[in-house]
Amino acid sequence: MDLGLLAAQVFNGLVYSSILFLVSSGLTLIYGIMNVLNLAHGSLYMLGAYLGITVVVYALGGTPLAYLVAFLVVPPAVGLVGAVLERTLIRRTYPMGEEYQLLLTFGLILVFDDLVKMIWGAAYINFPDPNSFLGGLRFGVYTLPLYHVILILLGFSVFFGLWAFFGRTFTGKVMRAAAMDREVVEAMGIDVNRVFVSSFFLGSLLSGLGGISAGPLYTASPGMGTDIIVYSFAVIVIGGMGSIGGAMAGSLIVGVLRSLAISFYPQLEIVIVFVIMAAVLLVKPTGLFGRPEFERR
Amino acid sequence: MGAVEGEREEMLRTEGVKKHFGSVRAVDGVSMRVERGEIVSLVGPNGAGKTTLLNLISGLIRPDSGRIYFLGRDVTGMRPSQLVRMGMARCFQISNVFENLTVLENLLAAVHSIEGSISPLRRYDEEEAVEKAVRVLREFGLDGKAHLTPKELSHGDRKLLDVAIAYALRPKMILLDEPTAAMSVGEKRTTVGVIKKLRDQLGVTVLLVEHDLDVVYEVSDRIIVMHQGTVLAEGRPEEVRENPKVREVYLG
Repeated sequence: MDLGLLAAQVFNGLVYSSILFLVSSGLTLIYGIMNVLNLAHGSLYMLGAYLGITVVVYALGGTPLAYLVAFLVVPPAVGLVGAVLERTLIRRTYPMGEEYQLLLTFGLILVFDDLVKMIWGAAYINFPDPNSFLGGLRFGVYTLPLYHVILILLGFSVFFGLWAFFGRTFTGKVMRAAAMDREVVEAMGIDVNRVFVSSFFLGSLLSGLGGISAGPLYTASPGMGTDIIVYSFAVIVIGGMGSIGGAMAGSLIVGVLRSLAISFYPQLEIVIVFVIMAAVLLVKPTGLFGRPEFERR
Repeated sequence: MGAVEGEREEMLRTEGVKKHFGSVRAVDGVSMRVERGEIVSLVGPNGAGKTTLLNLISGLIRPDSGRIYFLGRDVTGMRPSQLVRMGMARCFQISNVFENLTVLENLLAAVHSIEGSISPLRRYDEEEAVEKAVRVLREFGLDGKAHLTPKELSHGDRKLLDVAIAYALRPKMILLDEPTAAMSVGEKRTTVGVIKKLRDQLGVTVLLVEHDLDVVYEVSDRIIVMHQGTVLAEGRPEEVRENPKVREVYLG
């Protein structure tokens, strides 16, 4: 086996891991705090990519600065969309039970897919390649595209950022407390509704960040939300539902192994992810990291 | 003793509060007052609407009509969390604590949540918070059990923990829903002591729903008797005890 090829595939895998982590950490965070499994979480990822394209290409003409602006503006915008969805639609399902939540958020996938086709059309849209102006990092004979390197660093930074947020800040601790018992939190004078909107905002923001990060690598297309959500589910099941650390572990496993499978035995691309998932479930049904961050009683 | 004659100050007031569940008139036009420094008991047979009234006052449910005033402010329809911040804490019938935190950690959570924060990203002073939490635990005789989890506490101590958490929220008034339910005689004794201590030493006004009339007569400055969603009688313990209408409801 060619070591160079192996290294290249691991590198590509890490890039994908990073994007998977951005999306699945948002998914697992919302699930952990609110017990809501948002199927439309992938649609917010798609929205991030399309809004990114709009800012980068249509509004600002594809300059390096346009990328910077898009990375600053798009994720909060997607977060806002998530918060509005929670306030207007998803909160109505809390008293009704999980099947209604799944129906509603599945319906939202269809709505978002059609909205995207209406606004941006059904054709795939390419971002201008950020590596064309970012260039690459030289490693001996290899050159690593800088944008890819930045994405890997972004994934790890977000991981440590979330870790500090939940471990060190007041809002983060309140969110963890709400995950444990929302009634006690309310009785302690914390407005639980605000906690819910905040966690939806944060979770959706992460998905939007994943979307705009992925856009330049994989182009924007109406089905991209469903592709990522399937992998994201596998990631959070492997890592343990509700666990940020688990989302990181799951993303690394899924991202790297999938990438290796693609180059060495392409037929396994999708299968391998679910084989791992099944194996983890057999050995440890709560996933690798159970629920360290979001223990429930 | 509690309310000194001549300098009464209103803590809580309801005006014609109504709550119907379908055809059930759970609370049907209740007007009542609680003065600062009082211990007031809500009593009445099952289904009289006591707990519903408590739920209305603490913001868990909204009244169909009528107004609720707390500290002179109209608080009708406010969320429980807002009321807690205004100084109204509540202990539930089923004690409501974080099951997987220790006693001390539960108190810390309460201390932190009420100190709140102007900036949500603010760091807080852990040592100071622990000090405050331990002080509260000492007031309620739980300082020896700080490192147990609620599951390891006796039923009486769990209720005590509940009251301690409520007190850590620095309330002006505490609502207690059946504080002595399912307690042993000894535990009831402790609870009576704690309720009196809340008023006499800690300066907290208390409104409680209670079934045990011995407890009610012992702690209350005033008793409000409810029947079928309305106030049937109201007055000092000795007045209520002699009231023929009350006897009829309870005996007949």
